[in-house]
Amino acid sequence: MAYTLNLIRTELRKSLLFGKSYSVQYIADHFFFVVGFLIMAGLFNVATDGAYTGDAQLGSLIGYLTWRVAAGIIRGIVGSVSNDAQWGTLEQIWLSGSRPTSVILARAIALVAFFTVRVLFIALFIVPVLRIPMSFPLHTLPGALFLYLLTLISPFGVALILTGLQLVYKNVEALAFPLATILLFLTGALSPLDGISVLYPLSRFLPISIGVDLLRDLLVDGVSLSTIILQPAFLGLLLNSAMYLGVGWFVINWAKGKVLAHGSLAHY
Amino acid sequence: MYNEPLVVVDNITKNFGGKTAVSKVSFTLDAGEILALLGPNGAGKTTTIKMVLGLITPTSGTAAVKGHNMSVANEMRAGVHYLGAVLEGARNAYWRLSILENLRYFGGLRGMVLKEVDEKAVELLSILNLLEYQDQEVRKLSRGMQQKVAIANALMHDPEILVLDEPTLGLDVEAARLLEETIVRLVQRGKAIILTTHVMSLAERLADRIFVINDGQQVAYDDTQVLLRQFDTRTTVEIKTQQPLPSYVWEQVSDRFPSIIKRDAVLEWVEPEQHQIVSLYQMLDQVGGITVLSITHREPKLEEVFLSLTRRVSPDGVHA
Repeated sequence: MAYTLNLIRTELRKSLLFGKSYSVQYIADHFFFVVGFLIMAGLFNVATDGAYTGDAQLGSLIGYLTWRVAAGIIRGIVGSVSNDAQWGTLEQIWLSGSRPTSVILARAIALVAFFTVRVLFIALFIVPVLRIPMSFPLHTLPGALFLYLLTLISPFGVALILTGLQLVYKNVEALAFPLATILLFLTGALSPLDGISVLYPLSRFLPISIGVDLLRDLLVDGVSLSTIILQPAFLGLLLNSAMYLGVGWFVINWAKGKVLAHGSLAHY
Repeated sequence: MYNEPLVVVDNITKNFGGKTAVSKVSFTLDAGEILALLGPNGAGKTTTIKMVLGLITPTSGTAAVKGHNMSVANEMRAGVHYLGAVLEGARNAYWRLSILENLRYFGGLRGMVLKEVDEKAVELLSILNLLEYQDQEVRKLSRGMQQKVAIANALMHDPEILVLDEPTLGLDVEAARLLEETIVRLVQRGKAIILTTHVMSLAERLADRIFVINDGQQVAYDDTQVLLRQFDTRTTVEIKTQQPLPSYVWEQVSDRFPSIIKRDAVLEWVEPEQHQIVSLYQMLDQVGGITVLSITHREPKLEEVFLSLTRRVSPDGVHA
């Protein structure tokens, strides 16, 4: 346990130092995501003749911020492993004796913490500007955190899949950005997809879609966590998370064997 | 007490597709010794050491570090505890982080807590003369200092074995000299080192044993001095004349002493007897009035041994 905590602390420390080193980029990124949401909120408002207010905006914001963290995990993990291969630090990580999967997991936890703080800052700008009502009671927050973390397991699984493919085939990193962006629109992160014939059933198989819906149920519609965990959708979330995590775990372990056999660990 | 060699490479072969990169290579590394791996570009040096490090799985054979088979994942994680490596063509460190933060990161990955890392960092950076630069980002350091940062990273967990892949590549003369001093200091502190290098003089000065690989094949493997002697114990005598020999003089000289080789105004003669040199001296003077400027004895150099081995030339100068 102490070893795992030390590993997470080590990755978190590195993420913060890199954040400091690239601070201008992060500020620009922050600005982009604040403005991006405000533009989308404006468009939704026009499209719905002014009906897009209050709870609808809160629902979108929950999906948007969750998607932002999910995209951060996917791009962050694949990109960092690709950079490590390029810099020769990947071989040094391998030589550290830590399991590569443990390092990636610690990196994912550090990224979740890092991006969660970042999206809270995004919310800090958006909420007052749009006057979004934060009507949920504070005692729902631990339950929200539970669902939020559960929701992020499938993006972690996607990150493992892409990282495994990146290690073996290289240049797969380029897919991470479009893939993460498409998720914003296909998962119903901005607006619930209920009633949309093909898209809704499809979205149930994608990462974050079920989790975002359940977070909305909890924080916007006031459904209690005890009720949520009895819903079939919660079981769907567990299965979705297990599926992506399982496939990701399989792909990354397959990739480890491949790169050691090919001697291509440091190739990029 | 572990009395076996620290590293045992036993008959390892690596095929990439249809190409054999390394074929049936074997060597050992003992405590406190320097083993130099020599070979031309693409000979299989890096593939060999990456198999020792567990970064490439051999097609057959085993590479073991302190008894741990490095191609088995769990054993590899135990084996790397005894290893540190600086690999060629890679930064081996995060350039956006300071020296100290790099050590904290890689120390953390090895399970060291911050206090432990910071104490070890002071010790290591003092040895490597980097202490005053510890808060500088690695990207702002000179190439030589970056190489020392990579060595510091590799030594954070105090491994018994250090693997240095072309450590002087890209360094200027002064930086290379300082790095050589660092290597000597590390061996004095009990480290065993596997070194790959193109710099023959470095290997000749530092290595206790030398392993020569060419086209993936083991060409030679022995103590440095033994290898030099075994391959060619004979001394070459160089006779410098005032001018190149005229053809009529050279014809007579080569008729009488067929083993002499002429290179412009220099005659090279392998292992001549003293009286033969005197006879040649007299012949040059009498036949052509040629003045001898100097006669020097040249000991065999590792570079010549290396070139001969890798060009597949026998000691008699005949291509194998």
